Amino acid sequence: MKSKILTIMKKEFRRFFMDRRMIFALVLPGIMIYFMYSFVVPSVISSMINEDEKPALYAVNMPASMRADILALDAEFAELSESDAEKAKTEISESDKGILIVFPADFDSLVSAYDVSSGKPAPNVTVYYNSVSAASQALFSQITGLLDNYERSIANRFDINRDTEFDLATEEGLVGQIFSMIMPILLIMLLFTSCMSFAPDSIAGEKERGTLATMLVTPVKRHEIVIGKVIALSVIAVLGGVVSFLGTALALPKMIGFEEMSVNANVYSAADYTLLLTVIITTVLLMISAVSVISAYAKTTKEAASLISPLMIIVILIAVLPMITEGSDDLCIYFIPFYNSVRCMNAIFSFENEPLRILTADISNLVYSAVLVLLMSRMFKSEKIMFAK
Amino acid sequence: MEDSVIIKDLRKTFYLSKKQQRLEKTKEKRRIALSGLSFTARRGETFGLLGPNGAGKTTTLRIMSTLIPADSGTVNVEGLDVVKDSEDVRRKIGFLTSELKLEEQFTPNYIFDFFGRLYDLDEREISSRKSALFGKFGIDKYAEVKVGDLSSGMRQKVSLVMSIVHDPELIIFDEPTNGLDLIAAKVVTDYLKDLKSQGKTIILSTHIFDLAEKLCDRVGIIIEGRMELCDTLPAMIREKPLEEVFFDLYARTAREQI
Repeated sequence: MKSKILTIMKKEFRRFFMDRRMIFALVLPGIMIYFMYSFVVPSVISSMINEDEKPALYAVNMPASMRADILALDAEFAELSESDAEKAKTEISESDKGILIVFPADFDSLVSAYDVSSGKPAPNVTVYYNSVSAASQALFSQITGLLDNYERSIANRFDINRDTEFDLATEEGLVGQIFSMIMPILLIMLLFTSCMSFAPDSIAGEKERGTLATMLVTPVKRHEIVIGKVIALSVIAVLGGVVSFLGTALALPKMIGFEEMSVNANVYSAADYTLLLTVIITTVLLMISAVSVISAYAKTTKEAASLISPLMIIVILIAVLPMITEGSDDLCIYFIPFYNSVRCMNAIFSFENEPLRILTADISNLVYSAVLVLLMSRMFKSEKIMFAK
Repeated sequence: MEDSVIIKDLRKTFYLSKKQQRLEKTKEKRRIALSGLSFTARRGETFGLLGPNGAGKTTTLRIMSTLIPADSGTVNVEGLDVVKDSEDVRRKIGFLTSELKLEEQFTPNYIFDFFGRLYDLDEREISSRKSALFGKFGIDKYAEVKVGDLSSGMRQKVSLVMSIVHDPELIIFDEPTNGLDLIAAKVVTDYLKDLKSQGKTIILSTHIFDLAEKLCDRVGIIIEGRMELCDTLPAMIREKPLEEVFFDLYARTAREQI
């Protein structure tokens, strides 16, 4: 029995690795993700911020106290008279660029003479900007920041956190927080995509092409065909998923600008990775089994792809759940397929894993896969499913 | 002569899908494919199942090959029950239809080894059967060419060879020349004659009278899931040609006139 499963597995691998297009489909997503996230996305973001021309910065009644700070901003500075302010406003509105600050005349003396307890309104600075332009928007936040700081400095009563390192979070904690937020959903999506791109062709495709029936007339048992295929496809899907995952993990620090902060995945131990791998393997087995059952039911590869889409949406929704809800930590939830995988990955990435919970999830995934394999073996015996036109 | 296949009171009903109902413009949900079909094929003879499309020929052959279960009735192949001993039955038979295909990206050489292993042959048996069969059919020159790149005739030869990798006693053929071009069809008929000369039992379904007259020792005519007439070919065509025998019978039995 073992040897026949092995023969079928070998055939699946051969079919896969002999086909250059298939290998391409296996590694391409990973490479694309890497290039997209590490080069394209950051350059798009920076091009949005660094527009070629410097924005114009107009000021009316510029006070001496603020002059040095404002001149230090990265903009073309010009001082205007009050009568020119309207013209500048039109320009900012039309050109989508630039910013206008209107100080009251004699701002510095007004500020020093102002008494809060008088109850009168304080001197008012007006800043006009155009939110359509990223440069204008950025300048607006810088200027309001400068003004806020200045206001605080003239009325300073006490300081907070002066000259000390106040964020006591460790690098490990930071990495854990970021990775546990992003990685589980990414992993689930990449693994599922990987399963979706290989399983339908091997099951629905073989049925469609009539090559599965050829195998069914040999003395091989139906469950041997199913097990051989499910294992081979799972290995291929794990490979595809891991390539995509590596692409993401390598590009992620570049994308979110953590490169300088030396945030990397070295903080996880070999044991963490082993646990993660068990979760990945059992999850992929379950995904492949589910996708294969649907493919066995479908008459063509195309029909299989459209029938799998709803499952994909459900799986992704389940993967997002832990991000938006706290959820209970009852052991029972580790019996819920896919949700258990996401929770386990979450726990592993945030260093809170408990082997018992991971074991529960792994075993329940294996049991569900076995049930689906049995179901598929029965389907292989059904005339309606195997031979219907 | 000993019996190779004994079929008794075979019944099979299908449920039509909505799509099938639409395609066939019918509202019936159930269709009776076989209603109490019985016949016996003897060892070493070529038995032809003749009948119009939808008479139940393919269903009968699929039940015999253990691909689908019957609702009731029994099929005994070489002393084995197709339900209880399905794997052993499959070991004894070679089943071929134009619907069974080979994966195009593999070479005949690889496919032969693959099926040899599925039939539990050891490596030595595989290699000796392979060189004998490839030599006989002229496949040896194309052993390393992908099936997808072969001509239709050669592809048909490869398919035939794969169905007898394990040297079966009983060969079942469903519409052997259906959908094949002239060259591929010739390959099939020559192959059948060759098997016949080797003394193998052959059961084939066809709606081509010429093929049945050329090859069969006995013929069974199936109409609407029932065996309406079963006799030796010489007895059947004593008075008139097979084609006339068939149409007379059909006119008498079928509900609708042609």
